[in-house]
Amino acid sequence: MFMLALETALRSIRKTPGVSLLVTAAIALGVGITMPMVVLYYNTAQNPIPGQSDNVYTVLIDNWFADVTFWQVAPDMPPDIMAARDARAIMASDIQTGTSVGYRVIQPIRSADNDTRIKPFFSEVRITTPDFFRMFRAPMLYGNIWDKETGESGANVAILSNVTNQRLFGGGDNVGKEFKVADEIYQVVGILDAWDFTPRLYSISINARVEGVFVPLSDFKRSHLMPERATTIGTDTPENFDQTYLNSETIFAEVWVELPTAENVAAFRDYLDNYTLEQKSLGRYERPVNNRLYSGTEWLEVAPASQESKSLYRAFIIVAVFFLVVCIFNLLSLLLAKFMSVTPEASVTRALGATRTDIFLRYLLEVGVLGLLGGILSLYVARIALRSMLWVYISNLPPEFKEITGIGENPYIQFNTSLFLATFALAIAASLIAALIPAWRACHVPPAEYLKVN
Amino acid sequence: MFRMESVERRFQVGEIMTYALRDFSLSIGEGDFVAVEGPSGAGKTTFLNIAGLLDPMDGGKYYLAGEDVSELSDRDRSLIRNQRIGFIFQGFNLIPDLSAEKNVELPLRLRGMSAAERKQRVGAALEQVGLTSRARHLPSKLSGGQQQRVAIARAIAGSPNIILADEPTGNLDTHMAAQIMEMLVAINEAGTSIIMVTHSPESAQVAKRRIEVRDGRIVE
Ligand SMILES: Nc1ncnc2c1ncn2[C@@H]1O[C@H](COP(=O)(O)OP(=O)(O)O)[C@@H](O)[C@H]1O
Ligand SMILES: [Mg+2]
Repeated sequence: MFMLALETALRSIRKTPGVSLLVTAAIALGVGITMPMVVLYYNTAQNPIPGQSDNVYTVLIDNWFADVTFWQVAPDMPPDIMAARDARAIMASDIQTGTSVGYRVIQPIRSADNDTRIKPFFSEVRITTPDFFRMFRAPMLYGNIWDKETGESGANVAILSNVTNQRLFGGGDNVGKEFKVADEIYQVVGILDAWDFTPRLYSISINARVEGVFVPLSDFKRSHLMPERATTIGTDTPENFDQTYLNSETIFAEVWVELPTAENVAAFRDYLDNYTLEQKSLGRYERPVNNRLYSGTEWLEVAPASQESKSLYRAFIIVAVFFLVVCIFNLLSLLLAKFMSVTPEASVTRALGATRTDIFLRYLLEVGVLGLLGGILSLYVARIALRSMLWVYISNLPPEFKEITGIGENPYIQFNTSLFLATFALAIAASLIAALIPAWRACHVPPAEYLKVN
Repeated sequence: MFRMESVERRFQVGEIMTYALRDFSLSIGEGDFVAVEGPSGAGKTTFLNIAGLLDPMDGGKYYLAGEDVSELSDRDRSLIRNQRIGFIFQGFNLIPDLSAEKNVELPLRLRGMSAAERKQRVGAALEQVGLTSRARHLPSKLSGGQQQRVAIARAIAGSPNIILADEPTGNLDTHMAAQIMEMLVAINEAGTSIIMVTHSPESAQVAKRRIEVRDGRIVE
């Protein structure tokens, strides 16, 4: 019975290739435009460290101007980056079981001996503390995190992402080898496994993928790696990443602490409040004390950058779904016309013993098959849509950013299995929704009407 | 084996109510061959559609093979159509992009019959109508008479209790018509009841029994 219905459906598809093509194309377009928006939103909204995101907290201290809003989206939100002096105070606390303090720069990476076969490239570099890797579950493939002494000594050591390891050394265990970051020689101590950390919760650049190189913070003493996203309150940002800079109110550090118990959290809050009140009494902070502690889970919701992209993608989804609905409505009238025109055949089949349900399902099957084809095609449409969005995005970036981490294959906009399946589900659902009314109408035509004389 | 009691069928077109069948009663025995005659618009096709469970009735009772089939679900009506009734239409009603044998096979597939049995039955039915050599042809490659013979093969392949034929020779020349009637007689002699609507006295006279319909009633 199913085989008969399938054969009949396929025969009908072949018989009206124009209509079949239109149906397939409409599904492919509607779904292909909608899914990338869903992917973008989904990737922004997902939790990169499930289970761990309630243990790590980002720390916000408000040292901003009294009368200027830091983020338009959240008027009473303190800056999400911190001055070095405040970050140091947090590192001095032993209430938390882990501390991740860092910032990121974009710097040229090249081979240590200026090997011309390895083209220099720009990469994001994270300057961070060793707890970072454990707190955000970075998977280590070769080597180890630098030890405490090495970190404090300010030695030039680095951990590479698997992508950078591939680009610099062609992959494999390259612990001990050397390369250059901003013209300084660094030695590899560890290499990460593939690490798809999306969204990049720990960074204010939440929509980028993980950095290519990780080096020790060494108490902010890497003067050759000056923060790029820094903002200074009151005066100009200092020219050099030196002691003046570190003592200024310039904010740039992304600060996370690990607080596994409620007692830890309460104690840390107290510590923070005491510290800021003390600093205020010493004449710092224009605004009232406004300390914030957001767990990773909460930060996914409230992070200004995340909110901005989420509301943008939400708007994209609305537009795309509207487009899909328009597609479905057009299909509906197209299918109605088609099914009503083939009722003579259906009527004969009914006379020979097909039930109304048989006919109904056979019509749905026909459109379902086209929906499946449309689903496959929609993956290509989605790819083109994503590429063109990226192209627009990249063309708005300064040249050195274009080199970063090969943004064209950014995992941020790639499909995973469940989204892949969701694409087909959506394609088939859309086609069935469009087919429902036409199939219902067509299977309720009394067969006798078409059998009398023709 | 076939009995209709006071069957009624009305159509409302705008303000006007037409009675296509009114107080229509008819009883037919096993192995009978009934020719139904009457002027155009008398209700013959309507009667056949109700007999074939293709159209609902607005009143009365209908028994087929001892079973009350007046108020069955769509599924049960479809099942009876498939297993007990064979249809032959004036316009042949073959499916144009299926070969002769696929057309004959269609009701058997709807029945869920095994491929082996289908093959055997389709072969036998096509042989009975003398079209074995044309089994793979599309209807468009066959003459009108051949198409109607395919339709007959389709009607008998499932061994129905009764065959309903609506002017089976209406679209054919006299020579072809005579051939078709010969086949129907042979089928009837093998035990299948036949009800045939016809305008042609030549066709009607081969039947065992002739009834006339006027204004939705039988005037025998
Ligand atoms: N679907 C219909 N809608 C309205 N009137 C119909 C319909 N089918 C049949 N009739 C009417 O019922 C009467 C009988 O029609 P029909 O059974 O086709 O007659 P016959 O086959 O004897 O020529 C006619 O008056 C016809 O107009
Ligand atoms: Mg008629």
